[in-house]
Amino acid sequence: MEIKCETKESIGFITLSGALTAGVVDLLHDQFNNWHSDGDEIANLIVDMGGVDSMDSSGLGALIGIMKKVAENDVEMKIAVLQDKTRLVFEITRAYKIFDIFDTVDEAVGACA
Amino acid sequence: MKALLHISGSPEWPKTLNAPPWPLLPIGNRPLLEYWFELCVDLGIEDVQIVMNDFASEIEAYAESGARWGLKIQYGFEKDGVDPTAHLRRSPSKWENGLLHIRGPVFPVRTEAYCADALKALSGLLVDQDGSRLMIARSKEDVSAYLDGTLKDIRTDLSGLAPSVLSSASDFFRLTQNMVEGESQRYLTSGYQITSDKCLIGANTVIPPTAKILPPVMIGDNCRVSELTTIGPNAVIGNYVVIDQKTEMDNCIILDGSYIGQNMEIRNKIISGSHLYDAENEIGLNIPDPWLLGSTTPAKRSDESLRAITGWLIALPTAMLMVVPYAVLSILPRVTRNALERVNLHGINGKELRYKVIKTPANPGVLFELFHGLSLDIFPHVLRVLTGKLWLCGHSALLQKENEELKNELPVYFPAVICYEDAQSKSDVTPAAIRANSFYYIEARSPLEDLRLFFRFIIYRLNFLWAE
Repeated sequence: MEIKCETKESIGFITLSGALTAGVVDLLHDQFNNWHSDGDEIANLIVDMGGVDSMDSSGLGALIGIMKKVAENDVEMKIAVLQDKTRLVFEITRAYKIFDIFDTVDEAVGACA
Repeated sequence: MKALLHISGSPEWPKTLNAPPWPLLPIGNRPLLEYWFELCVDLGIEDVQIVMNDFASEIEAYAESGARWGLKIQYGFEKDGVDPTAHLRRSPSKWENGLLHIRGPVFPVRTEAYCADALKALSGLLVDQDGSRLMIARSKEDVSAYLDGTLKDIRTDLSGLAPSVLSSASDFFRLTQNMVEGESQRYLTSGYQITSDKCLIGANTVIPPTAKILPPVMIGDNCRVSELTTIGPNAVIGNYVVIDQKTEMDNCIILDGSYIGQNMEIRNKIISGSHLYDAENEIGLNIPDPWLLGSTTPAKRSDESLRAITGWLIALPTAMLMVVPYAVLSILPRVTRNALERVNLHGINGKELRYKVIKTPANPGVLFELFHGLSLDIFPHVLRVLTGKLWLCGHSALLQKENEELKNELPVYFPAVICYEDAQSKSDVTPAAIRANSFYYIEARSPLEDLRLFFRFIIYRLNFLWAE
């Protein structure tokens, strides 16, 4: 699992690739917390999942955890680019009702107010 | 009139569902095979011959003697690479009074006009698509034309029979959905009827008052539906299915033994254990997460464990008996540098094994004949059985291109020290024979069969030594 966190023009980007499963959830939490606690002020967070090829309930739980954490600071989280198989997991778990999901990162950026 | 049902070959699409063998896939709430048997009954056929290859044990366990349908079923085993119609041509006189031949996943769709009496008067029918076919021939001429390959399309819709070839999981989904939407009425045996509210609920299925059932729905036997779930419309649920709380499902097929987690939304999907298939977008996916999807039936491990224990118990005294002769007889070849060769083997769980064994010399002398005759060449492999890296008996473990191809084709693979080919003369070991042996082993494997194969191998080697 590769995780890249960066800030561009007050938008936070988390780029994920590989399998987002129970085995890498702690790594995601650690990397996110390190980056988030560095203190960059962000108004929106976009999670680019274009490289995520599989996902389970723990991975989904980690995303919900991140969403809750950033929501404490009134930051809106958006999901961009879901592969077909990952989209199916969002669909059957009804996670699509919780997250704002966009087909491309540009669309997600465009939706940031 | 007689029937020949060919259940050899495995179409690709049922593999995406990780479903039961395709002839046992439930269309509505009954396996495809059962619809074939009912067609036989409607045609007035009593003698049915089933020619199988893969899934032989499952098919035989399901259909048994055929007495449940008033049929007399005989079973045959088809070797790979043999033309399926060769079996028919071998004894043409057997089919002179008429033949029903089904090959591949063909569903005998009944249209609204279907009438069993009209079917009895049907002179002939041939549907042939993608190698799957359903053929009915009543006259001797049509049968012999079929056997010669000269029979052309003789479709007729007078009987209301319109066979449909299932060439994808989406075809299977569509057909099953048609069933739940009302077509299942056409397949009922005389004397039965579906309740007017279009809810079919099997025996010993528990549905709490807070669960909502929206017809049309088919739920199988021994299912557990939890509180606040919504099932239907157009949901087909198999046997032994557990649906956890607050889950909603419609337009879906849930195959036997599946578990659906809490708060899920299953729409336009086929689920078989942890496998999910999206019928709309034709995407299959395995979700090995017991919180979301899972299986309620434990994997059959007991037989395999018993076989592994038997193999280990045979390997232990074998290794103990071999250790001294191996040490003595391997000294001479070992001192010459070229006497060892590295082997690459498939191990259990896909692990690659690499170690050195004594090489077969170009001109084996008496000493090597003795070494080989006493089966001491397998000693390094037997040690790997003791450490759980190989099976004692099973499939050839050698990492070769041909074995790799065969391994990918086999539904389960047991890399082993001894396989059937090891107890056969070299002239009998052809690629076709290896393939047939490999599939046969999957069907016949048992601790007893392993024991038989082991002793057969030892006796073959000793005989070989004696002959030399």
